[in-house]
Amino acid sequence: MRDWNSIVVDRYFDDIKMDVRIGVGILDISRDIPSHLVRKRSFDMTFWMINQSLKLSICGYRNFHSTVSEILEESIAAGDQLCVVMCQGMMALRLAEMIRRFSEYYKSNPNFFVLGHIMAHKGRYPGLHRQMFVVNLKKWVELGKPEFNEIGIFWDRSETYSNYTLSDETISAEYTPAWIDGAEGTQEVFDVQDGSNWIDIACKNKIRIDNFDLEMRECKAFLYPYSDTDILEKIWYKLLDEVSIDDSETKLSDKLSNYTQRAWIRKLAYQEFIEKDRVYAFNTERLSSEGVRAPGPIDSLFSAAAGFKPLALLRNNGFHENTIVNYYDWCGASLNYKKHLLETWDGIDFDKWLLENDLKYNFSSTYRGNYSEFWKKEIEMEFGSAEEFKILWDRYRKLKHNFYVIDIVNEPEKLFAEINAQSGIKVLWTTNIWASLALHWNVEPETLEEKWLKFQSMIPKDLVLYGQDYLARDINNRITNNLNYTHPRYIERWPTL
Amino acid sequence: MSLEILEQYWKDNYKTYQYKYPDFFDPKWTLIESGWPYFRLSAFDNQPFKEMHAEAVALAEHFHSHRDDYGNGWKSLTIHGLNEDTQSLNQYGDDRRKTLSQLDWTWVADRCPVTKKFLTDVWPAEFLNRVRFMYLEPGGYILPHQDRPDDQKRLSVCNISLNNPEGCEFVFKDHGLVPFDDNGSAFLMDISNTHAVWNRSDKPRIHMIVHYEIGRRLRDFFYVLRSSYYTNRGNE
Repeated sequence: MRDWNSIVVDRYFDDIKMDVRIGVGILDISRDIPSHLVRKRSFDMTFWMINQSLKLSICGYRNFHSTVSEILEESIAAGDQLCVVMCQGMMALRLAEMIRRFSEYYKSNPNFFVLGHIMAHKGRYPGLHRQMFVVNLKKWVELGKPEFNEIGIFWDRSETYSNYTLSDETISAEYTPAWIDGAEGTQEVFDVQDGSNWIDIACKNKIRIDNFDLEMRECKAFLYPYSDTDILEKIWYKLLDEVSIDDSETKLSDKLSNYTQRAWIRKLAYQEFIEKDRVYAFNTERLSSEGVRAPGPIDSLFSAAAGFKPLALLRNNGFHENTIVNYYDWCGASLNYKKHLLETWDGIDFDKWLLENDLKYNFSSTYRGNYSEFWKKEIEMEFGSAEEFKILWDRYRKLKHNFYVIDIVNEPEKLFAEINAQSGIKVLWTTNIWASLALHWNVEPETLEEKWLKFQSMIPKDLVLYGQDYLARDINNRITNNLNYTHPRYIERWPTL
Repeated sequence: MSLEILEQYWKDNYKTYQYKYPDFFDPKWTLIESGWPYFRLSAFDNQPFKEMHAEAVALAEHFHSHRDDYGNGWKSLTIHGLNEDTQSLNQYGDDRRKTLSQLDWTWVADRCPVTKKFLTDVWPAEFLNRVRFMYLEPGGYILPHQDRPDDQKRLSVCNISLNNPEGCEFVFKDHGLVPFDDNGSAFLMDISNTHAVWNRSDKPRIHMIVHYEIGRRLRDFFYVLRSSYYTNRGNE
């Protein structure tokens, strides 16, 4: 999976306009995962991935089913044209990009049947890996709504399947052809893979099936939750150990046999390791998309210590010389950065200040080579001009600033004590703290929901809100419209072993 | 003469098999490479075997004598097969595919709804071949024999005790007693091992033997196997 730069790819994603209706469902493979924890948590995290696209309204969630047909039927009932089926354990971190690509593929190939991971091992009839595939629902109906048959083995009986042709070009391995197409004649098959019958049906109906291309593959990683499940279970909540332990004998992630699984765990462990003192010089969200929400100039701003969004909030809503800026963060490094910037930067050429201070901070999603590019973009797209920003910065610098180390998820009372101690028009921005990947990996959504509801219950009625709830939805919209979003619950269909 | 054979066989082979479980479950190893003579499908321990037993008992008068050549008091009644007295499928001609295509539920299944439901809804295989109730009278026996050649060693056919009265024993040559449960228990068996049964109780013993083809229910089968593996290991 590519190491995407979240500033580049997340920030302007809500520009995607979809004209193809796409549903996404999760296939229940719990039967094959011998751990309740891994079953449930891989489901939770797969939904977390889907939810990043649901909040952009570019797809609909078609629930958690034990058969492909159930997912497809629900997708049809919802009016979808395409349905993305993914197993629990699919870490589709860039699903929005995949959906955009699936939509383009559909427009270019309106009569396709299925797009997925073609698996064509020698000696076996080819199949489709169940981790993820995309179905053209109209074609599925035309073909008689065939079930997606599972892997099987026969000794007395057999299947008669169409002959096929594989492309010479392969995608990622010699058993992953770029496409498979029908050929004359049939063959007797004793060893079938997942979805072999769909390959057969496509071949008999002269429909070519394409493999996911590399660009699509780089948007996701499959956790293979049924492989080395016992190790995954031990590692899940102890990712930091995987970074801090040097001894490969005791380092569990080194014992994971599947490459993708191992890579995902290492990536996440490293992210968690660096998160403890990570500093966001630039925001991963847009600065002004929510517009003006305060009834007048802000008297007190309570803001996560990240990027220039606090300045955008002040500018958009208005502020005065007595406005107080209150930065909070669970991470002391972020607060130190804010103080340092305030004390030493004159509001001109931020990229140069970053270069000078690069080694002092662990900046997120940035590296020395792109400071200039990011700053230029920040000015052009969010603040109009360098001159306008300089004027804003000079006003902002003169304001009173407070700094608080507070973990708002686990100690919201500390935050609200400070908020309630101040008066006037107060604004709170929580960014995506409640919806972050690392938080959701480490805390079950049921627990997070409880914590969120506690937090929500403490919000004063006159507090102006910016930021996301635990489901990455706008807090202001949730509270103003009394929306009680909740997350889908894992359904245990197989007895715990 | 037969009783002398049995007594000597029991004397030579009566023991408890000692399992050694690897840390991690591997279905191929378990079924083919382990060399285990039998494997308890403990995932099925809570199935309604008593009700299935009652259904079989109610049909006692319909059982057919079986294998008089090496058995005594041994009878069978076919639930799924060609008819109520289906023998080894290889006896019905060379065209095995044709024979398989003719397999179906017999009238016995209609009289045994609980048993049929177990076979259709719970048993983890796509196809059933021959499925029979096997009845062994008090004092009855099955002399030592093997159903498969030595080069076909693997756990395959399933033998389910619907009851197994105290004094009725199934013993594998070199491996010992199979711990069938009187309350019902299911075991995959490696019938390439020589085996014998002797019912020295005063009650009839009824088992059900399931021949099957896994087909596309491979993952369902592995789920049952894996569940049982860890349960069995925990019970060791």
